[in-house]
Amino acid sequence: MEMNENAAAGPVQSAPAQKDGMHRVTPARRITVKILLYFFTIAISVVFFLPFVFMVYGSLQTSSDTVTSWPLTLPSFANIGNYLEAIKVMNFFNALKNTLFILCTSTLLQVSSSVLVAYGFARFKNKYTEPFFILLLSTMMLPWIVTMVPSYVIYSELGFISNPSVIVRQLPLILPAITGSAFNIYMLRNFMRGIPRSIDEAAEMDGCSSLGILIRILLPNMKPILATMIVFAVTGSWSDYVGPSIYLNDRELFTLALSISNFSGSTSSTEKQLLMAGCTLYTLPLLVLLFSAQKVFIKGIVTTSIKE
Amino acid sequence: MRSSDMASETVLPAQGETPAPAAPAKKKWLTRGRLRTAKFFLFISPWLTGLVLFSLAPMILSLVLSFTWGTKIATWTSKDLIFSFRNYAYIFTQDKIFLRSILNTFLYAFMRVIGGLLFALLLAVLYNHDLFGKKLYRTMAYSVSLIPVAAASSIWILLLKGDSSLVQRMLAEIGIHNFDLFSKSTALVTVVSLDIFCGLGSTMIVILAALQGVPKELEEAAMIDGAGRVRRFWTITVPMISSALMFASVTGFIGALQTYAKVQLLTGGDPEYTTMTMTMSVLSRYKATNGNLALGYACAEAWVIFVIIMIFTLIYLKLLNRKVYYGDE
Repeated sequence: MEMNENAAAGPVQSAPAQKDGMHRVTPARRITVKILLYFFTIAISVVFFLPFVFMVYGSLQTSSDTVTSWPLTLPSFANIGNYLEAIKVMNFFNALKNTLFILCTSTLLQVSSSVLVAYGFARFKNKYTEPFFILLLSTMMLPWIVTMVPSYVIYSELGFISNPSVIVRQLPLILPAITGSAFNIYMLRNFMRGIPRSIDEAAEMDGCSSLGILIRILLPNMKPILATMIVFAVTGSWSDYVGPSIYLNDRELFTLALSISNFSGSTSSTEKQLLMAGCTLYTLPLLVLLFSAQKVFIKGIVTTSIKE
Repeated sequence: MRSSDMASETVLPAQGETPAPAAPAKKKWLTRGRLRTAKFFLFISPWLTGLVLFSLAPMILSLVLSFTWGTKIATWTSKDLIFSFRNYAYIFTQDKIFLRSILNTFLYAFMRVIGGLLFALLLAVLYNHDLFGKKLYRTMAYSVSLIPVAAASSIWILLLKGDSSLVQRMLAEIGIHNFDLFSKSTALVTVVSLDIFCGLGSTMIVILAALQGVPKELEEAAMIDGAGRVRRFWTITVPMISSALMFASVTGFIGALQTYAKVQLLTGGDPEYTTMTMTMSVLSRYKATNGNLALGYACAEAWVIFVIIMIFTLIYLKLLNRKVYYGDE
């Protein structure tokens, strides 16, 4: 994105070049500085990537002990069977199904709800808009723990937790998504206010309904920001551990996060190579998503972090 | 709760308005302004419903329960409903584990915010140079924060925890024994460090973006005045990006005060509660008895956490707001 392109012109970067002109700096020194910069940047980037390397390294070991033994043992693709074994041991596909179901429904609900609510705040100003908007912003500070315990009690009393239906038992993780995300609503509202009103007024003249204006005029202009929100909702739900660990006690309902943590902590004699294979399978989709949608991620982190 | 009163009072008239376009009185009654208000409430209704059902109602229930001694609501007798401050009194006088967890959490949050920002700032300065393949390096730095917590903790445990972990064996090979990263004195620092490591990439990207907004003229002017590189960095660059730093630190602080999964999966609060955080303390108490333990007590703990977080967030915002540059206003 812009940020990456402009990085070249960043102040910290441009400083040395200009300083070089003022002080007497030989080309040799300049090259040394450049080499050092490359060295440190690449070295640090590699360090950041080490957890992934270790994960894959561990997943391709023959025995559990060689995963953590020193000196390192060369991994071998002959052990690719570990992945099949891990899929079996962790009941991977069932967990994947559960994860995807919760992920799709909650993301859809959260994002569409956020869009509608943001539209309300952006376009229908009245005397209640301001106080409700302040209420919205203040809910961002609400710690999840105050609602978590009593929510569990409510669901339990209403029979959600021990319901024979699988979907009903997953509902506590899906229903709250209807609230939307306060942060997303805030971002979307700002974005919508940036779109000139004259366009929707013209559409209104032509008899377009309020919902029609949102869907036909505003949404097509908001694809990038929506992509960002969907990507973050997806990664959040895929990785979520707290929610599932509270509401889903039954192995049949385990999400991937629960399968992994259950397998990891089940016994001290956990087959480490299988654990790493499972972790690789669990992490890989996110990594693929990151590298295929780099722009969405990088832009997303920036827009969701700087108040304007 | 003031906010809930506000919600219920104001929703009702709006709901009354929408389905009542009485034909004869239409012109007078359904004015443009009223229609706009009705539509406003219609569009925000998903949020409002969710807020009432999934946030306000549980919060109020939790507040009420926190003054009772009950366990499961179904098995309540009238004597469980006696209003008393016993739970709160117990928390502040007897419950050493919970008090310990409050201390741990604050230590954790301060280390997390200060360490996280400092290292991210240094990293951003390094990554801000125009090198070949800079996008790749940034994505690599960020990628670690995407590892789901369940997988990340498994990796860290195999790498660092216990005598049979890779790093311990490596150290043993070169003659360093008994260097336990998860001992009573080191565990909290280890856990914070791992959390900082995982979060560095995303904080760095935020700072990198903010760095783009610093006008070059300022740097140049300072340079002509003879300010060195380090001085320019601290007196110009850092103040200019202070609003981004502030935002990162506030959200980081609020997040860190509620840390649960990262620590729970790595240590479970061990050894001897030295890594127990506030949220872990509430949920461990709750889970240990399968939802049957003193529910009122868990709610009281949750409310104590809520109030603590609110107070500290407000203080934090107040203190920081004074030193922040928000651009020309």
